[in-house]
Amino acid sequence: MKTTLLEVRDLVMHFRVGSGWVHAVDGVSFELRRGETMGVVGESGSGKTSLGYAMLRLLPANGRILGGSIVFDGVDLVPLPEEDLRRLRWTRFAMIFQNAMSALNPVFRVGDQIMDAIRHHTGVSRAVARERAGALFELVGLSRARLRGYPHEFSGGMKQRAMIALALSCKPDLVVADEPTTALDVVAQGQVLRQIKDLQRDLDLAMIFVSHDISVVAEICRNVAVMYAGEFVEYGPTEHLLTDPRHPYTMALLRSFPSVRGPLKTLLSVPGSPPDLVRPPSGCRFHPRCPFAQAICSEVSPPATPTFDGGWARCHFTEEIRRQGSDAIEVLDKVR
Amino acid sequence: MEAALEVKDLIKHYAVRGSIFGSIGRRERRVVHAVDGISFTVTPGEILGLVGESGCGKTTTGKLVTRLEAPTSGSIVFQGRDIAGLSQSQLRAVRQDLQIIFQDPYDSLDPRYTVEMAVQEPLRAQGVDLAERRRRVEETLDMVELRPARMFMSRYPHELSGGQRQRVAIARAMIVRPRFVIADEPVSMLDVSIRAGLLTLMRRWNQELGVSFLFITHDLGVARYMSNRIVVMYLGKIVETGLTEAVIGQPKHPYTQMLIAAVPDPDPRNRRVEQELRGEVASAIDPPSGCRFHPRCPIAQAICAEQEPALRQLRDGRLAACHFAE
Amino acid sequence: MSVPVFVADEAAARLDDEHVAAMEGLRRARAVGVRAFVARFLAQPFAVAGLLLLGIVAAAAVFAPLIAPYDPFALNPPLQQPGPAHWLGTDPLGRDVLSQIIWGGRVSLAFAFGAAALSLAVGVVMGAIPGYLGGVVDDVFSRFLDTFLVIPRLFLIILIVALLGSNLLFVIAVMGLTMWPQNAKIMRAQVLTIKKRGYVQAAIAAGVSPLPIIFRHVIPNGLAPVIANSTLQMAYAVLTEAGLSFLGLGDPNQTSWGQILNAGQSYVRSVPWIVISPGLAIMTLLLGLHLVGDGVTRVLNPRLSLGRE
Repeated sequence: MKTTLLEVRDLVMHFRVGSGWVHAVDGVSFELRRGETMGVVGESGSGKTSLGYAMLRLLPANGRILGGSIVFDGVDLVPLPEEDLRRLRWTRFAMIFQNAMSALNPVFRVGDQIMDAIRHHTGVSRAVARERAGALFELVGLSRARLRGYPHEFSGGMKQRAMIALALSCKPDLVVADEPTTALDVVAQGQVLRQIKDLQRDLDLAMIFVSHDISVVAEICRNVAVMYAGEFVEYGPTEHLLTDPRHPYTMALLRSFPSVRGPLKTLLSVPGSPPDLVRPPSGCRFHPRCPFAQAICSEVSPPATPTFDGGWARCHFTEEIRRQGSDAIEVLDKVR
Repeated sequence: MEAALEVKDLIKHYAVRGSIFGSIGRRERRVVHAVDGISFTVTPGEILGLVGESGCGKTTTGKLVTRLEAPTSGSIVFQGRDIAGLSQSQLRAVRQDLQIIFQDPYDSLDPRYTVEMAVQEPLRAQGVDLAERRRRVEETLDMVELRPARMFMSRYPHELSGGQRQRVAIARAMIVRPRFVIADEPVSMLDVSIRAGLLTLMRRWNQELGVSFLFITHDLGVARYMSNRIVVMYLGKIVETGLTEAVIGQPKHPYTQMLIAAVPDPDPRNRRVEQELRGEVASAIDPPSGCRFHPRCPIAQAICAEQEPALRQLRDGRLAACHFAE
Repeated sequence: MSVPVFVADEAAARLDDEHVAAMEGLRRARAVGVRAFVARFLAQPFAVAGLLLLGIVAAAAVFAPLIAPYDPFALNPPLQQPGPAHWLGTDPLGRDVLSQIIWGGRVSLAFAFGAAALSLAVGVVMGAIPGYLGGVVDDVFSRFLDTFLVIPRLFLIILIVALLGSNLLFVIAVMGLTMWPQNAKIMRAQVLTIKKRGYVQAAIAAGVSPLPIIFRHVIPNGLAPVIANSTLQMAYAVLTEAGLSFLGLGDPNQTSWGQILNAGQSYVRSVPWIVISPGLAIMTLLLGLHLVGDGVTRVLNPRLSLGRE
């Protein structure tokens, strides 16, 4: 078994807005081993993006980590001085953003930007940096000649590859990717996902892959966490979680996805909309939208019930869901 | 039976201004071949899916069919009348039967308009009186499940969620009881969990009132769920068209095959077959010769670079534009 | 250039804007309407201070007959020192300076609001219609605007006033009609982006004719920066009026701050208070207008005040 690289315990990150504190991340715990990939799936406003940034302590001006720990390779990042953190960022862990277009400076050559990043963090000579940038480009499936290109000469898929190369430039142990393929067309997305899979195999890279798209996460993640209203509601190995979900929200997400394969199923949508995280619902935060909700759900926050292989679901009725099977969610259609 | 909409040889070319330096000296006109000679028919009561990647010309097609843009050439026959060359004032008579739903519900509603003002706008343009407008707004909001309608009428767009806003946009299109609706990526900006509700709504609208749809989407899963027939576009051309289940289940054109192979699936039992995804979409300014897909095609031969394949009928009745499809 | 810092900044900025907006269900960030505008305007201390200064000038002007100690045209002993009888002294003709300043505020404000309103109305319409229609109409009209903008405005005004007289309403009209091309340019730039917005496209698809689209969708949504510019034009109008009166081109039937300056100009060295007090009055009004204008701009363009949340 591989060693633990990142251990997040009871992480709480809120940020201040005019009307109060947004409970963006509210008591999230998980563990990530070296070389593993974990997916975080959630709707917009679930706090998944905030979690991605909070893990690396990249907080907005109005954000505060109010509790918990983020132990990265034995070091707790929460109390760490900003100076030490800056040294770790990029060299030990890096980020890939959704919008590669704005992360690359349009007036400089892409290669120069990557070389500068490498030199800034490792202090190697220009020649060495150039060589490494070239190797990185080849690694992500871009030709070396592309180093001399400007961002506008790159297609969306190529920019995203360049961003991956940039993230890998200092050989980090962990990469947090926030919706890295969302802005891409399906073929380009397929290509980038292929690339990421190859990198996982070749580099023994740990990754946290944040996305709203459950199908993309299914492709490349070993474990998946489903996030709702600032909390993880279900966590587990991908094959189990996506074929035999035990939380009603996961079930609903899966039944709302229009697939191009398999028999054509009626799509179901989750009624209502995500809650206001300034005043999250009491008890189980999903209860106002849950078709199975009982009185207890609005009162008691459900504990994590083990499912399989270290997985768990935070629902009072995981056992009933197991007995009825994942088609139990069909009641969603009936309640309407 | 008369077609609900018949598009023939539709072409839209845009002239683009090159860089300042490029335009000095040589007066070379660069042209974007956004839509390059497409023909299709929508039968009454049908949902026709129009799919393709960004830049394939599907959104331009939608704008041409609703005449928000003027085509370079070709015909658009709607209700027995070619609307391709009509002026905007002539078009006003047609508009109540031909509505459009846009992709971005944050953009398609005026932030200063209440729901009521937005939804009744098409009626007001027709000169319907205030009391009748109110009554129909209420009725239509109820149909799009914004209940109680009275409560939603006085809301502003910023007080609504994305899904609710798109329902308002649908209500605005529905209120004039059109016979034809163009839906341009109506759910792509919304969370997956609420898409199904809107798709179901549009399907019900189609089934109960017999409204025909041109449903434009990049999402093949959504196209499969919504449409009876499907048109696949690549670089301004139709590459394949036929019954949805046939085209998505057994694609015959190499591009359609690549497109479907690239779609990920949440169910590990439906894992996609690994297939090589080659190259990038070429530029519509200078599209490749012959078959536009040939530089990326895994089965391309010499002929593909020279001769453009015609859209021809295959054995099962579908059409595909490939020299080697069957 | 430092890529990593840039990237990290981007992350924080993204969280700031988009994420906060998403988290709050886009309620506040996209809030429009008068109430949201007022609330955000009043949250800025400098803008409120500006409003206060404007309020003082406006109150003095409105209640001039009640608070002015003398008739501004009444002749008292000339060149008196400031004292209990005349708080700001008297001018070379013996008119009470304080009373003149109180009454003169009316002229300045009439200029400010009259000229700016005229310029706003004409500019908005003349910018919006050609901009929306586009094509040849827009091309020709844009060239016309450019030509108009290079004419030296003050010189033109002086010329017109010198030739055709200095009646107050006439001069206000001339000011308004020389300032509008600036507003038209701003409005046109707004229109070019707004006409591509979905709600305008939707209105076209709904069968609404161009003029209702322009007046119901395009102008209301594009007005904000033009209004911000109008506060600056108000300041400009006040200054121009003072300049004209100072040069002796003001309306002789009205008391104005510029005319006090004009009357006191030969006594600047020996009796400075005559010019100091109207100078301060002009400064107060200009400062108020600028602070309010700045506040309006910040509310309409929140990026300028990001990070103060």
